[in-house]
Amino acid sequence: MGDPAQEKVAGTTSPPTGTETDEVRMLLERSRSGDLSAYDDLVRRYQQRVYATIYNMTGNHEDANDLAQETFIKAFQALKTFKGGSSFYTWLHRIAVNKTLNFLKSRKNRVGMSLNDLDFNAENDPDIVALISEITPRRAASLSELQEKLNEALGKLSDMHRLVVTLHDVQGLPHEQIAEIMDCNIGTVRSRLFYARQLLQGYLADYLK
Amino acid sequence: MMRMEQDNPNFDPLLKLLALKKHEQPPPRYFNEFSSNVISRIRAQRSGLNTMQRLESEAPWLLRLWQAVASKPSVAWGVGAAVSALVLGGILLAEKPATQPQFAGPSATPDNTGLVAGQPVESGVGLNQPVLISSSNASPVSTPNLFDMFQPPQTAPVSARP
Repeated sequence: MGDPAQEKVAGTTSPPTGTETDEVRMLLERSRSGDLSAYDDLVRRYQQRVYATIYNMTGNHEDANDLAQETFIKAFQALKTFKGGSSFYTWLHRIAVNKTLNFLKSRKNRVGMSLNDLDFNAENDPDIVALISEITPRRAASLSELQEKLNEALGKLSDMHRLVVTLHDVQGLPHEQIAEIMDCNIGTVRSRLFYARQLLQGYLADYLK
Repeated sequence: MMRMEQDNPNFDPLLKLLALKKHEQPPPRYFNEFSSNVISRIRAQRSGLNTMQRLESEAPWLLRLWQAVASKPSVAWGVGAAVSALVLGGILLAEKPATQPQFAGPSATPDNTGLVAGQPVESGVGLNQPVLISSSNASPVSTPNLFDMFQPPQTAPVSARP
């Protein structure tokens, strides 16, 4: 079983997730003193990962766009409170996750999905090729149908279970970092992840056998 | 074996399917503009803050009025409605045609009878009381043209001869 943490997260820039480089620390210092060009650099470094987390939670590009922008705006306003106890990436993700969870709670009726298109690499992804090369009905299912069924199944999970699957199995974050982001202990992360995967396997049984 | 499978379920196929999520991308060039949108919004918030700070130091009464109005939407509605009514009334009044009797001011041009339209007429012949002449058939009182009131300064032509 491949280590999800090693899997490539498509379309993301890759600053270190566990430790901050000197360059990031310098950008943080300049941003704290109000330098917007430095903060612009920071946004560019983390925008794709933050957006991806929020998008995978909401299943809606428009909501993800709004929430991602608000995350970075709030982070800028709160920069003075960032003491460096965790990495900036973790701190930023905590803001993104809290904003998204609050948004999902207040969104009483689930809005229809507004899924992003699959990029051209999807058809060549070895995992996906292996998956669809086996027996029917999976062989007959197109990629877009698989995408739709997968997102429907994720939408059936509770927000917390969807979050842990997003952060670990999609984003590739380690358990320790997820525990920091979700403000819980590692055991809780593991049990939520196990339970979420079991549920997903049940919802997607037709496509996984 | 069954119990082992239940204890250690194989999530490999699920994880392979979840790989699809990594390939879902936003519209092209989305991230090219994302950071500049964020920075623009931060700048806009900053300028909004600066405006409020200036108001606080230079015109605190205006800021208090604004805060009072903003905190009570019913007051804001009332003020807005009153101002709108005043503006509308002013427009309607300005556009009203001059068909009703008007008391002409001292600048009114008298007609050839020497009477000024609308001015009460006092006469001892058969009339015991002043009579108001309606100006409905009279020509409208013309207001003097401001340009006519002021004569341009007379300037003598400059001679070219020394």
